[in-house]
Amino acid sequence: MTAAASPVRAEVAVVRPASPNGSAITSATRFVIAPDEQSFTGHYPGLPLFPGVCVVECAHRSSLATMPGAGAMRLAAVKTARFRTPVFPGDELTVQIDWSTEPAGWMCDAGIRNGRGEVARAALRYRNGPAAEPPVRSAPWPHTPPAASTRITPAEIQRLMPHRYPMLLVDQVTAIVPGDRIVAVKAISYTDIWYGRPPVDATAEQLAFPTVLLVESWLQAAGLLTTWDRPNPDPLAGEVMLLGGLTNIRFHHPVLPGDVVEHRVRLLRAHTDAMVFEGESLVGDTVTMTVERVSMALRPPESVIALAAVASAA
Amino acid sequence: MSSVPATALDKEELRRTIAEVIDVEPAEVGDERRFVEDLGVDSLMALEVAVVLEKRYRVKLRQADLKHLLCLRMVFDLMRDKLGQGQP
Repeated sequence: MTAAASPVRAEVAVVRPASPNGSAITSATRFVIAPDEQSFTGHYPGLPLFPGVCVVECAHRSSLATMPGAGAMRLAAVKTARFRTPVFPGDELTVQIDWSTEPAGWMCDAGIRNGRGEVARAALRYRNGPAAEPPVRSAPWPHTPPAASTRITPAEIQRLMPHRYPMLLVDQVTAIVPGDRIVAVKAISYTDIWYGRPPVDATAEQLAFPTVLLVESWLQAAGLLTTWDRPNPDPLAGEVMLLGGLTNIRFHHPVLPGDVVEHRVRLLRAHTDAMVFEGESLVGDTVTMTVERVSMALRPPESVIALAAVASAA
Repeated sequence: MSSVPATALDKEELRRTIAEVIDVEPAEVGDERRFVEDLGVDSLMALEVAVVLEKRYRVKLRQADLKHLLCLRMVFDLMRDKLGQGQP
């Protein structure tokens, strides 16, 4: 392991390094999403879907591989991401990046397509230097929910949600007000599957928990808030939870083995098949991530199965 | 996200705010262009528009208000009502 840990096994192939294109700077890459990607096992059994955060990871890895100029650039924020349609095993993804300069860094505007059209857009902000985003103080947590009366373990979590090993990224729910807010935790360990077998001299940077998996872990806490009153352990028998959009997710501090991450999620608004959330993640008193807005949708499995059939026929 | 004082409902700012949420250029958000039919807005984006309007303008939108969020002109009229500003 020489690079940072990543939830995406596929290698990035640089199609075009960053180069002037008219008045813009652009680059391009491609990935082949093989059926043996680790995430497919648990996301979801019987209905493998490439997690939306892994699509963002492809954009991120493309950025790192084709960053214009030199310097250690860190992912500071997902400014926006929009997910249009799911990615399936075997899909080939092409990532087209428009670069623009930012104070002390770069903005990557990525369009991600498979053979059937655009699957997502993601705008990622990078900063030069050791810290990603400036530290923030935790906003006062209004109306701290009462602690869960019993310990909510992975077994209960899997009765509520379809996510399975290794993509089950919530260890415990510690507090909840159904329909309103939730607190859930994820402990990070050196033996976590996502690190593989790290070399004994792995640096802190190499052992930073993959940023997009912290986002996924937070999203699963949000998912639990949704499924608490409406268990959805099998997407084929219930509904498929799909990521709609991410807006202004900022990374303030890396998360390392030994950290216990606490996710705080508030439901801002819900409709029958759609939800919007906000919140943050902390390690102790340190805010590691702030989430301005996330939207998720519940879709009938038939519609997703139909898309999967088109994908596998291609 | 900063909120704006209730006295300043600016249609151009509203246009930019909505354009950002639904991921199009502000110029595409014509006063009468329908979000769903003309601009491809889905139910998820519509919900996000409601959340952003509530935060930015510090108003409360009821479920019944959402069916009035069909184009910029209708959003502007609704927000003007919510903010207690009559016809100029």
